[in-house]
Amino acid sequence: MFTFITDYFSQVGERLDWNGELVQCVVFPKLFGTAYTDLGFAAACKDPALSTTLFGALGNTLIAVFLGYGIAMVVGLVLAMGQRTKSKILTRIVREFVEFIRSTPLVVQIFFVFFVGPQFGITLSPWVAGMIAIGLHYAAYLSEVYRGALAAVPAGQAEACIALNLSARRSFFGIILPQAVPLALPGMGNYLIGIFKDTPMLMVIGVAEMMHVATAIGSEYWRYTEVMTIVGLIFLALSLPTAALLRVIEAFVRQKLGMTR
Amino acid sequence: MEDMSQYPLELNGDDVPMVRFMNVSKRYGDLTVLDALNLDIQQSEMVTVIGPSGSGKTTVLRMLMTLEKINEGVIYVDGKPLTHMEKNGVLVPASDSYIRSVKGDIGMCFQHFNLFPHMTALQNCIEAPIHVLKMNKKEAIERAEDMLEMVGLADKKDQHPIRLSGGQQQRVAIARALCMRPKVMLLDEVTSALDPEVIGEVTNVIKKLVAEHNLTMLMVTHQMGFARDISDRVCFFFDGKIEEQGTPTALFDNPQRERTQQFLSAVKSAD
Repeated sequence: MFTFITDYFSQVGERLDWNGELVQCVVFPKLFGTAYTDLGFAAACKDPALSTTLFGALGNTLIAVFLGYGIAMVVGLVLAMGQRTKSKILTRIVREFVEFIRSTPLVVQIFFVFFVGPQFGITLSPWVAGMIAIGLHYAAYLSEVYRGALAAVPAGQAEACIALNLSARRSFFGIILPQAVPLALPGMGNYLIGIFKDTPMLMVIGVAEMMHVATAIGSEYWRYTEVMTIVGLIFLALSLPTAALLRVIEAFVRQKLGMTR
Repeated sequence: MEDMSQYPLELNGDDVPMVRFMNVSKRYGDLTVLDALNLDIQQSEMVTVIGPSGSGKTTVLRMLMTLEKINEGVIYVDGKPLTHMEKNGVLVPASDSYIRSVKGDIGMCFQHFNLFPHMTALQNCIEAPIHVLKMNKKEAIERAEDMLEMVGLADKKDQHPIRLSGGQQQRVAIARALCMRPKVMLLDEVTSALDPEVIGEVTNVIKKLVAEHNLTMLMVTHQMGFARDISDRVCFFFDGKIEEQGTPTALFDNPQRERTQQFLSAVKSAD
């Protein structure tokens, strides 16, 4: 019974694909489309953008957000811990690495990982290259959030750990880090929304996220206004509740840790 | 470089002190906080350190807890060097793992309690016994409950620190330190951050400790009355040195040095 709705929002048209063959394609975003067929691995040999719908591409965008943010959270913690060691050399190296990443544009980094790798024999798919670039970029930012949060845990906590003879590992993971989590959450939430809104940059190497699909649809049928409006609204519709949800999570974490009355 | 051969590898004999500071100096840049400190604390002795702020008295405790590195000298605990270890027949600065193996004998309570806020009173008390002493959880809980009982907080064991008053938090901190069964207990201005009406509950716990446990204690305090009541010996620190020391009666009633007299009369007039 929903076919009339899907019919309304999408029309099937024909166009020439890259190989010069006539193929069927989506004319307007199929709002209730289910298939996101391509994770970009085949991007080099066919035009994947038009084989998926905007909503399908939203799936790709969200996968990119979760993968990229997952990498950023873990690598960011490693970078933050690297700056807390006693080794001055290690601290310096990590510090410079973070500054380097933060001081160059994300889109340049994405290009760099994707196009420079093959010069040295490292060929990465758009997805792998994109996740490495965006993951490392946000890892650098998150490491600063972590560093600030860790530094904000009172020095007396580390002294109590020494007085109780706890190991360095237990002190960090059992005492200091849990207390830093609620302090880091607001900044982490910021960058979660940030990474979500930065995923369109992955289009430059052909990852079939929303913006890529939208551009393809727009250029094919000259309907940029509609398709970009929809993309903008989808971003808005997801960003706003995320910010609210993060505040709930922060309150929940504080309560779980027993840090509220 | 300091000649390390003057320091024995360990202290032997009949009357080995529980803690010995031997020529210990501490400097921050050009500022000398402690200047060649020599201080012995005997087994089961209760020593109180008093003095004006900046006299280095808290630094003494922090060095013994290995929170501060020392610049010269050696600290011995129970006959063994704490800040140094033996290597090829001489003492060299101790490695982190060596320090960890020795400092288990020392416990400390802080001015600001430093309880772990994300853990309940009981969890605070079992954390180190489980992860450092490798006790099983059941034994650790039994011991922690005993200690919380001792400080009068058995009914608060499942409360997080934020729900406890300052006095209660400090008593949990004392219980937490005692759960590690230290031989030496360091008390760093444990009543300074407390409201006047709850100071008594903490000092009573400390009095009980002195009476019932065979602990060696080193305490920094601004409460002269309390120091007089429970100390075996009082050390007056001035300008990084022990200016005068003696029994509470001798030091408080009959101070010999001018600095001591000035300090005590200033404290008295402030009361």
